[in-house]
Amino acid sequence: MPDMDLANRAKALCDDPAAFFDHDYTAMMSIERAPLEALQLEGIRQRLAGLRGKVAMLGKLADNQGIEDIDDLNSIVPLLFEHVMYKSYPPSLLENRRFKDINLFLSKLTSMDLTGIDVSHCQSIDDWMETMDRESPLMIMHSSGTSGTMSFLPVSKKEWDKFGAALRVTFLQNFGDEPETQESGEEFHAIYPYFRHGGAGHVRMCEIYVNHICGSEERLHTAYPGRMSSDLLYMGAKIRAAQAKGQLDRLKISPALLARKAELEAIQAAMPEHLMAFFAELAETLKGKRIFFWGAQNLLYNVTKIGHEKGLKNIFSPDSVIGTGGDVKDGMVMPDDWKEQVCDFVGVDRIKMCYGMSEVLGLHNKCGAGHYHFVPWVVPFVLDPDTSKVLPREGVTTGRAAFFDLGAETRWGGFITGDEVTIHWDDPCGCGAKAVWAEDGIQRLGAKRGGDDKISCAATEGAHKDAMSFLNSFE
Amino acid sequence: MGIESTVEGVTKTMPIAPLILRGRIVTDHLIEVGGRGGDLIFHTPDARRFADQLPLGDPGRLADLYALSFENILDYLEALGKRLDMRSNVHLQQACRLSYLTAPTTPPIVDASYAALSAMFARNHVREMAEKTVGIRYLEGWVEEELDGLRLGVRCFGARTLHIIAGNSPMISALTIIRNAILRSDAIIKTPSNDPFTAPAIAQTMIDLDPDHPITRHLTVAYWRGGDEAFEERLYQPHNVEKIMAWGGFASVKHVTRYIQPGLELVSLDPKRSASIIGAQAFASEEGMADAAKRLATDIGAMNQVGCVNARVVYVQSGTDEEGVDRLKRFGAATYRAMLDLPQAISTKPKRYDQELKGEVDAIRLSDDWYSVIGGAEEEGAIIVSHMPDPVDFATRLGDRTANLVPIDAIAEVTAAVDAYTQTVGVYPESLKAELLNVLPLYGAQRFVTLGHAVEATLASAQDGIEPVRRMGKWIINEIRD
Repeated sequence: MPDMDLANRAKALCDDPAAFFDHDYTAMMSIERAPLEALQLEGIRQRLAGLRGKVAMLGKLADNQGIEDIDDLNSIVPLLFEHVMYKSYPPSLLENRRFKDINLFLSKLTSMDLTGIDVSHCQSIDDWMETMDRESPLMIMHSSGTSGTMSFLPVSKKEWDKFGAALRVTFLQNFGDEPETQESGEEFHAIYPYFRHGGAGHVRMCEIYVNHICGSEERLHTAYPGRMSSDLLYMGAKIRAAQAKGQLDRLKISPALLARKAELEAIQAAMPEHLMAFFAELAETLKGKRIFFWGAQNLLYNVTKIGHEKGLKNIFSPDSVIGTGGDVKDGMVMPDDWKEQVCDFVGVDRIKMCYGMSEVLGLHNKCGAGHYHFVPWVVPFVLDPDTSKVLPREGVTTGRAAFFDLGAETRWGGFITGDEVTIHWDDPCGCGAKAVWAEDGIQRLGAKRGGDDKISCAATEGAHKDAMSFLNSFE
Repeated sequence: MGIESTVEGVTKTMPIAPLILRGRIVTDHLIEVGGRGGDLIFHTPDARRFADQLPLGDPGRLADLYALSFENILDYLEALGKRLDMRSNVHLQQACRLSYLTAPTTPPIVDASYAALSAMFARNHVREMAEKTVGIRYLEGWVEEELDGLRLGVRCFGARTLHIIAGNSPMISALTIIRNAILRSDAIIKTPSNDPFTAPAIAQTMIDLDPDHPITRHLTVAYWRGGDEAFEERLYQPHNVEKIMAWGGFASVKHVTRYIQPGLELVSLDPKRSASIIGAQAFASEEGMADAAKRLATDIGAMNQVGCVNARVVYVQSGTDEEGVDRLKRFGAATYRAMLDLPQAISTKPKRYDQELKGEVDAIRLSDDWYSVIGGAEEEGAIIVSHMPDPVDFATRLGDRTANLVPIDAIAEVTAAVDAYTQTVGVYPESLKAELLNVLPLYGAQRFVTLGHAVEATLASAQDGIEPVRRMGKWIINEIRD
């Protein structure tokens, strides 16, 4: 007889992880492993049953593998999507702006039918992203395109919202905190030293800051108004690829982008002025306020550097929250004391470190013992890096990380990353959290081979500048 | 090889890649090195401890090579070739066995390469190579020419050269040793971690042959971790070496460029990719298609696609309409079958399929509106048929017997396939070359072959668009005036 209670509880976890744990981070980290894995298994089974007929790519994979249902967590691994799945369309579709075909491609990766949306008028990626934002139930996130093709992750607006609610808990609370402690302070101002809008994952986070962290558009302070151009980002990546291959002379620039040259140039030209205004706002209006500032390490550090040059120190309230991803971005060299410098600028005593990726909507905090604890709605797996076979969920295993995001309801939550992790399955952590944990020092598997398509903003600004200077060579 | 010998502090079963120091075999000051891919851990003397002994300090010591005639050099190489017989040479047997664990290919292919080493040293072969790639008279003495009324003597001298060799075939070690001998040069071979045993095994055979011979005494073989800056900065100096001959991947060649300075020349055999072009004639008859498929399968599968010469992206004039793509799928299936039928000595199931590539292939397998993937489920290799005239975005990662067939309508479209990274262009049928020969080199093509012969590179010709052997020598002139 089916365990109705388990089924209902698993559904509740999938539907709204934050509410399931009463918006309490300590509760999220305190559930024992056996009951949690029972919920996770049931959750994955529900997702598989619900999505296999609706997400065509999943259906095909499940048919190929002959998998109808699973009895244990590791059995789902043959059905996890490779991280490159979201860019497995012919590169020329994007190059030739065949957005109808891209929608056809995406329709097979989401339960939403996107084929009815008229994108025939879209001349650019920006046009298309805006159209999709407006007319589809999705808020698509794209990668930096460094491989020459952009990944498009079809995340529904509802899923973003669900993620935002959970992020408020993991962003603001620490293990052992009473949830009220963080909630009782002054309302946050969120700062983000980049564009307000854009399709890249890190810019999409602005939506979450507004809706779940600072509560209003007025309390989000970005450096640049408007939209980061996805077309410029894509072209910047293409220029770099063409340069490396000696093919720059053969690079095609779309007439639509050339036509926007003046507009894009104006945005670029105004950036230093906007940045200065942003700093003035930090120093004057936001001085002493409680702020929330999340971003890539280089972004935090660059802001700190400029701030220090302007003589700014300890400018915000000490109960501000500052955080970043735990890994060093490719090619970014940070000074040893960067954390101290950022803390000194902001005026807090610690930076919150986390591990995660834009494709899996869950960020895993590093605890006081230096371990990343997985949030309960994201199921981790470790695969043998040489054979891709799943490793047992016991002892200590090192290999390629894969995840199942139970929160994903319109797309398939199973995702194989390009990261190498070491997970301790049974060792209790000194911090007291029960959640399974990964060691610090998570790296890209392919890092040694150079280059990948990880969604990071380290690459975005340079790509933008390259693209503009190239565009300017067309008179 | 010092394998399974007892050395203090080291277990008996740990293989050793010895350091060869101009006729001397060194097996002390061992450090542990992990084989590429983590399959084999071996020991090798810590090259850093021998940094000052690796280079030939005094260039005047090259003079002993000038006491040899070219025929003496041929005598030596011929005798060496006879000793490089797998049936009797213990050093080679051990190196071959250990290479099973380090090589990117599989044992049958390693065996076939080792079996072919001896023939490379055949007298006529070496003579032809020296004649075509340099000109024996320039090696033997001053060649007088007249230029603008001026008498000019020209001679090709040897140079102190560091060779950073690639590990995809043991033949590269043998080729380097032959080139070094005919040029009367002094060589330091830096071995790669995926072939640390072949060069020392040949060098040990040279010591067995004649430990005091100048050719034996002008060869050093060492392994160190490429990129060890403190060490390399010390060694890569014009007073130690005059030339660096670098084979290999983008990162390793790029890395070496930092040491290049006046007095130190880089001869770079860059990382290369190859392209194949198949004309509509392949579809004129079933026999023609089967022939082209078999040839293509050979260019993809030979040496398990670890070479830069192998076919990877294949442009096929099948047509791009539905009928054309169907035709290409049939051709892809025939190519896949032919690849599986290749003899073991030429091609096998890959040693270990690149898991990142597998991820890419598995992803597009589901994108079947745009691609058809034939095979690959068992990691045996796969043929990816693009449905649009568009290669996969991971084209540069293709390997382990995985190729991408791209349909085109017109041959003119193939210039897109060729760029600064292109080496070999395999063409079918032979007659189609006429349209391409004078165009594709402008974009970067360096070598045209008839489809099916990509891996049969001749050693007596230009390589990678340059004349590497001429560049390994120093061309000295003597202006003669009365």
